[in-house]
Amino acid sequence: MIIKLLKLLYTFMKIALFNFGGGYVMISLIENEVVGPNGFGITPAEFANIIAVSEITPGPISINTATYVGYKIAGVLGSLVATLAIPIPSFFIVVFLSPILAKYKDHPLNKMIFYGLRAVVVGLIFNAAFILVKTPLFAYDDAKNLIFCNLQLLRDFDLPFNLNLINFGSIGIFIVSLILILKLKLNPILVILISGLLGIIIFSI
Amino acid sequence: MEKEKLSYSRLFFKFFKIGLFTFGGGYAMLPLIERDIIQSKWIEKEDVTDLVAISQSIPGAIAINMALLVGHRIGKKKGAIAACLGCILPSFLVILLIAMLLSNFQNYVIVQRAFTGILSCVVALILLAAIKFAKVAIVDLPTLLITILTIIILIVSKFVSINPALSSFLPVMLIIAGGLIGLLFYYVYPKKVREVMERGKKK
Repeated sequence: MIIKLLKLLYTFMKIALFNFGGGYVMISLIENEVVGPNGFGITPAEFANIIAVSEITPGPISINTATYVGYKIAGVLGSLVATLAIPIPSFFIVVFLSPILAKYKDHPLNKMIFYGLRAVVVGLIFNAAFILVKTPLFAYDDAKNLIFCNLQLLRDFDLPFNLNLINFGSIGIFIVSLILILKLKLNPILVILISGLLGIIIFSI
Repeated sequence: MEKEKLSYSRLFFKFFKIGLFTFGGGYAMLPLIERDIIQSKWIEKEDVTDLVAISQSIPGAIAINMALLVGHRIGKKKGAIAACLGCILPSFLVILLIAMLLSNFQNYVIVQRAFTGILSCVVALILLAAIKFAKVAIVDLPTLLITILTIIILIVSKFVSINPALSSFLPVMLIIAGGLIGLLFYYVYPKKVREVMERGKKK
């Protein structure tokens, strides 16, 4: 148990230390660490649920995800360790480096590091979308199970996207969400709630 | 408006309130924190704006970074801890409650259907965030290539078996590589440095 908790602490501190660009990048980093047999054994479907909950609850997405993942792996103690691990690297950076940070904020060297780094961050955010798209868009098996529960399944098909497995209901909700956000400018939280309702309706038909 | 009285508990509760009532993650919390701290007059307005910029340039969760920076500016280490715990506690309690309850009703078909719907919307939100971020970050051919290469490496890595230790460090290595490319440009490509600095000034 102690070893598990220490591994959690180390993993989430590592994630926090290298996370630039907010919660969606963190989705990429956390998935890479905790999903699958090499990580903590969380299934892609479980991870997708965790992200759904993190999005509909208040507070930073990364903290929400860390708390939930920690709980899944090692109960209440696990959630405490994973949650507190996130601010630790930032705390030391703020306490010991903030005078330097303020001074070099506009230095060309700093600007150039972020010039390269931000381009990678964009890729990681797209990757977060890719991670989650696998589960809802191509995976509903009509009852209650998400079928692309592991990547092994994905490898077994000739094409990564077998047409029979495409879930058109999810694609519909995806398009409706885009329209509601972009054209009608609705609050994203409201759109999330609407899409939840749509899910209940569409997948019940 | 009068300056609000200062104490660790006030700092804690200010961030607790924001953490409890703000949906949509760190980027949604940042403007609220900014407004609240400016209103309380604990920190000069220009300094708050500076802290917002710094919070996005250090690693970690953005809202947490902002809480730490504000707390540290006001009350050093203890201030940072008070603000940070205030920011984290609502998330922690809410998620813990849901996680405990959900293990029971996650198996209900209706919950799973709602979540499947929500995930489609979340994917849309993430894609929009990625596009918004791309407009700022992809400014020329090298940055475009870095982004494309990152996506290719991440996707290919899912389909080929690589050493677990290596794969656990893959995103981290990509982030470091991005920073190093920028660093390399700084030393060997002065024209690009001027270009990036010019672009920064225009905004």
